[in-house]
Amino acid sequence: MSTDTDSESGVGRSRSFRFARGLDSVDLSGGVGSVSVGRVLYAVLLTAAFTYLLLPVIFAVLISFNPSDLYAFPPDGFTLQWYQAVFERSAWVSSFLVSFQYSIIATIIGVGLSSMAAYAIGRFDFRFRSLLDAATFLPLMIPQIILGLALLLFLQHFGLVGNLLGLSLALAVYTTPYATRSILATMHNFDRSIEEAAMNLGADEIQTFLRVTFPALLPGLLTASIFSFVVSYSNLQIAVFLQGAGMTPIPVRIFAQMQFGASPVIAAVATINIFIVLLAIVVVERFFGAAEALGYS
Amino acid sequence: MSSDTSSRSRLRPVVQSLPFGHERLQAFIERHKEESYAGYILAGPYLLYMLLLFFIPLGYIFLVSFYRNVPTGTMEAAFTLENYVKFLTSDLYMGALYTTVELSVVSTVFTILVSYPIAYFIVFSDWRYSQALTLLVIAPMLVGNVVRAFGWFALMGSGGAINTVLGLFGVQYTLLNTKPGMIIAISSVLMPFAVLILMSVLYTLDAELIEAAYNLGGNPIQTFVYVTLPLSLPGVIGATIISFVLTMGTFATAVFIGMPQVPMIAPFIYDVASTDLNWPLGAAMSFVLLAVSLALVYVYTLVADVGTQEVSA
Repeated sequence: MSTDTDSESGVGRSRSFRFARGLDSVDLSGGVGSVSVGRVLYAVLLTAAFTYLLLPVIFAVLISFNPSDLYAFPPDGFTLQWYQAVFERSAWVSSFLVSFQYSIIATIIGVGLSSMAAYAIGRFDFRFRSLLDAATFLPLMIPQIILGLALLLFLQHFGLVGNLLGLSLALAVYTTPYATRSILATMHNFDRSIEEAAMNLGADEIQTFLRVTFPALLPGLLTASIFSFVVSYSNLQIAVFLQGAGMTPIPVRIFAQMQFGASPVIAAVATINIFIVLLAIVVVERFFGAAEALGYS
Repeated sequence: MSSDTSSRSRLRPVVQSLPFGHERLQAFIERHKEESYAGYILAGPYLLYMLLLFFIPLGYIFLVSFYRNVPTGTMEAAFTLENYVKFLTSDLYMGALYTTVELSVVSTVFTILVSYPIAYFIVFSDWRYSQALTLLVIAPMLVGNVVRAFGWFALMGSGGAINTVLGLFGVQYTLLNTKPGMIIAISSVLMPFAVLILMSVLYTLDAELIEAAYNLGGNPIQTFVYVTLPLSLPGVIGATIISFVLTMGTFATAVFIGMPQVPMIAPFIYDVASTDLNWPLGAAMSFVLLAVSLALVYVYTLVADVGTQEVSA
């Protein structure tokens, strides 16, 4: 077998611990003053990982304020001319409006359906409960481009391509995983005994739901709504198939403009989107705490 | 006291009952709430919606992949394998499929490597702002692929920031339209998903086990390699699967950064379906992509299964 570091503990154990001896000699406690080498290495690694994650977003913001239309770095000035260009073109403005409209409708549909499903998963015991729980992830588990094409082929039979309703119905599918997770996270933290108290005090199920359960779940519902709005607002792969004349969602217009070459105007649009998303996140965080909202706590 | 309650009730109107149908709904709830099918009634609208707008469209795309294309932009019902033959015999498409698999595997591995330290830090650090870092992870995800792909495009182009910085060191290298450039851009798009999945598993770890490892004399690296990492393997496996499936469908990044020098399959599916209006071929390509993704995920779960059993033995 492999190197027998600890023959008494059996084969499997000695095998999985085979590098332990070597690692014993690794000493990360050394360092300068109170700062250890290990901690510094870890901090550098973390900073690099976060920089990597955020770099494209930060850079899009930077060039949107840069007067040069080359992507010069470092920036050589400050201007709002690209934002002015966005708002002077009615095509961009109408795209913003279209995206807002279908995202709001998709959010209402998605959160409405998901909250009922989440309530069933969180409160009721039925045979395929854990299967349903896992299945709520499905729209995230297949390549988005396939879902987009599938919805195009199916919805075109009903005249639902290139209009607001079609876009809303399609993107509602995509919002459900996010919505279900947010609501389930809230339900998980919800103390059921206050419901029982309400019932003992003579409230029926409907009254208990309206006056106890619903207010308690409201943070989760709002979080679900904001996440649903944002993910459907920024979705490209589904929206690109369901767009139509006069119905160009904002990510699709960015995509289309890129075919003619990049310009700082796109950076300005991207920055507006980033601002909308940041605003949404700040709202969620103030309201509920973003980590808890997705169930990570 | 009384003013307090009155101001409260003004803020939150007290609903005594539904405006109509309260008794009937209440009777309905009481009749069915203890039944085993109660959950299905409640989840019914969701299930119906998913059936109509998720499962049926996916089934339909499979059906359409056997249809015959009519050049005027329509299709006729048929059973023909010509779409699959056309895809599988095209060097262009098969090359793109191969590149897609290759980039997906490498990007996924890279994503997990950079995501794990972030997830680990957010979960285990005592730093008071570590929770707020979750926001920094979620933000790029919500901003969407298009914006991030655009950001990488601007960073990577000749004359872009990366070019300029590399130039300071005397290196002339443009990442745009290269495989390394694609891997860098794709991985950063995937990172939020991977971090969130890893976090959800790391949060469930028993902190006492890690403490026990330290108490038994393990140094940080030993503790990580023999305790934390094996226990978090389900998260690593889950994050790998999600990342891989998402990369297989990479679209915006593939168009902005890769095309035409590094072709991936998703832009071709879009072109075939939207520009050429050849829906049956687009459907067949989608279906092959889905089948390849699922097959590779399946193989991976088999390998991962053996791997986890070995660790836990």
